[in-house]
Amino acid sequence: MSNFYSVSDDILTNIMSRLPAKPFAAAACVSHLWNRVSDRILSRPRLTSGLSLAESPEIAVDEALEMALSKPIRPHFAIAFVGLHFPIEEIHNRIASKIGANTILITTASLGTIDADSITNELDEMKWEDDEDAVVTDDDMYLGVTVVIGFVPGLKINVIPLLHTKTDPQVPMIDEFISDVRDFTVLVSGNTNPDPVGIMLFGDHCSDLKPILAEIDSKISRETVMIGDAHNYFVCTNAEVDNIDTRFYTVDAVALVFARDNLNNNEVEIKFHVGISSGIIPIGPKIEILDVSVHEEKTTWLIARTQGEVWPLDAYNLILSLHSLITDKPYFLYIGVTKETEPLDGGPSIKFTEFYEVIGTQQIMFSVAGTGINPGDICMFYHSDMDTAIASSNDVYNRFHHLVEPPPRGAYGQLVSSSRTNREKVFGGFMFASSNRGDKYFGNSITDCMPFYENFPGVPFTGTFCFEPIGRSPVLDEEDEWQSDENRFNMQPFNTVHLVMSYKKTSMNLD
Amino acid sequence: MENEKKMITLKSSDDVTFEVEEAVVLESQFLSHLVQDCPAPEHKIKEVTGKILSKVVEYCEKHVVVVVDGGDSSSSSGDDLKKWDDKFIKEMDLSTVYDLIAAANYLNIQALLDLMCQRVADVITACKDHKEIRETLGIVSDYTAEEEAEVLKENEWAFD
Repeated sequence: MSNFYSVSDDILTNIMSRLPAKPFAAAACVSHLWNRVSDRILSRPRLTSGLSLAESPEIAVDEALEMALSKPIRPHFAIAFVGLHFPIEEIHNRIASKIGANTILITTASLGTIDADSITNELDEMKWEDDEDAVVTDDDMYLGVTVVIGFVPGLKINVIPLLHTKTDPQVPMIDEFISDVRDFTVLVSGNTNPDPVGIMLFGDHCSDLKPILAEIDSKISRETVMIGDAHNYFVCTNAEVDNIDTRFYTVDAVALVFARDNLNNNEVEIKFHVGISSGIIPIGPKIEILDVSVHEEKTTWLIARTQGEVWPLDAYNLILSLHSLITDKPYFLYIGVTKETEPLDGGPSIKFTEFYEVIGTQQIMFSVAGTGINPGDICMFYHSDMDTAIASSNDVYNRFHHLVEPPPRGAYGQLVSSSRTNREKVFGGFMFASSNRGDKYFGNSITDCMPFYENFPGVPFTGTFCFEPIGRSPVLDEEDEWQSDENRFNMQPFNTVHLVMSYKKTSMNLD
Repeated sequence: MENEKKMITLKSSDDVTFEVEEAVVLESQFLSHLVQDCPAPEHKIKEVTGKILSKVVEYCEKHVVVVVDGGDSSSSSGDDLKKWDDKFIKEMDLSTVYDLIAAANYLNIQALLDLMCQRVADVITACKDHKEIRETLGIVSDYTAEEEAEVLKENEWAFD
């Protein structure tokens, strides 16, 4: 009679690598040997994800989680993207109950998701037409759930809320947020470097994060990668958010803060990389706002003049002439208003641009969606442009291309042991794309995804179409040129922001 | 043109012999090297018993036939093969699975090795916790109570 002890470590590794995440966790508790093998299998960071378009929220959660947990993984954090027509809190609670109460989880609404991990898993059930076109942005996507689970050894993650007071006037607590981020980073990094590796931010739909982000940008080191969705519905029930006294504070945003864990001996070091594909270009003259009238707290009618002129401009005819200049139709028209914040601590003021969609015009007036424009503001018109979007998607593709692993050398190539070349290895990616882009705009879903998907086919990749994707242009590598930009937090309305996650073996573990 | 297929005889540790086509032997990396290097008509495989070798031969014959017949590996033959694999492992006791793992490992038949590892993985997946895994696979824990509490805590997310 043979028994399990005849099985070698290599075979045990083979067996355990096949386990779904939960049985894998149980197997890790069987014995010292099994625990060591499980650690070996999970010595590298990984992302897994699952998508379900089931019409029942319960079934959708279960299906998406089953997929996301079909491989060995220990959930360090999870992000769920939920179709707008689904009950977001119910879904959040169901997911939380299945991945452990202590696992960091943020559930956020989505206008459509892309999930490249499921292409290999469950393509048939997705009703997608071909392998590469794994995107749904139609109305039926307002149902459905995508869950991404991340295992990031070498990093510690915390949820840090960004609050404002309910006092009058309501004050955004930016400095508290920044010191919370720094305290956490210093605590886990064990040294004095207060800059986390990355921050993924989810802003509430009731708050205008732009001035706040402009200030945060000026105060958090540029080494820190920041991306997210500035304007959406989200749920987070981790203690850091749950314990907030809502009588005194309102949550403007929650941040997933990824800090380097230097206190433990880590085999790998994780890096984040950001690429921003923009899709708008300026058009027409610079104008100055003369008069403002707000309707129903959501639309603003404006009278403006061309800078340097005396009389108000004829908005109707100006917009008509812009219309005839724009060849790429249909398009979205925006005004970008230059604004300045005055930080509470009396630091230098920070300029940023806030964008408003132009929705109507009548005689000398034109109207935009949203409020917050004042007489005297200087602005420019911008319009969405497909060539710009495609070209900038290509730029992002090129930007990430240096992370692509070179193909294995041929028989006559130089013999370089691959274990010796310690390259960045990409293990996952996120995309926050403007809901104006995607399938409906480009006629295909590849343009948005291609910077990641064509560089790293087969690597787990999840994207969401959202209201206000944000990303901060990163510290540029040596090979890149420096681009000066007054607002480094890119909050343009027609962006697709990519996050690529990679790792490298740390020097102490090089063979 | 030589139409007749080359036959090779395999002999198990307990002297059970199997006459198989050469193509079947080629499923095993180990045997294909052996056959190439030493063109004898009969090969003794000391590490594998007749009972297990019969299973190995059964598996390899099935897999070689499908590939040859299919020509292009159409999905229906792939599905049939999958069904056959499922049936092949369904009623197999764990002791035989371990022996087949050892044999597949020794003879270097990756697909059979993977199939058997998947079978064990399925058995583990069906267990409700680490204790049941130990019971099912006959593994004695070498954890102290404190150590066990610690690993359970590390993995607590998975236990409802």
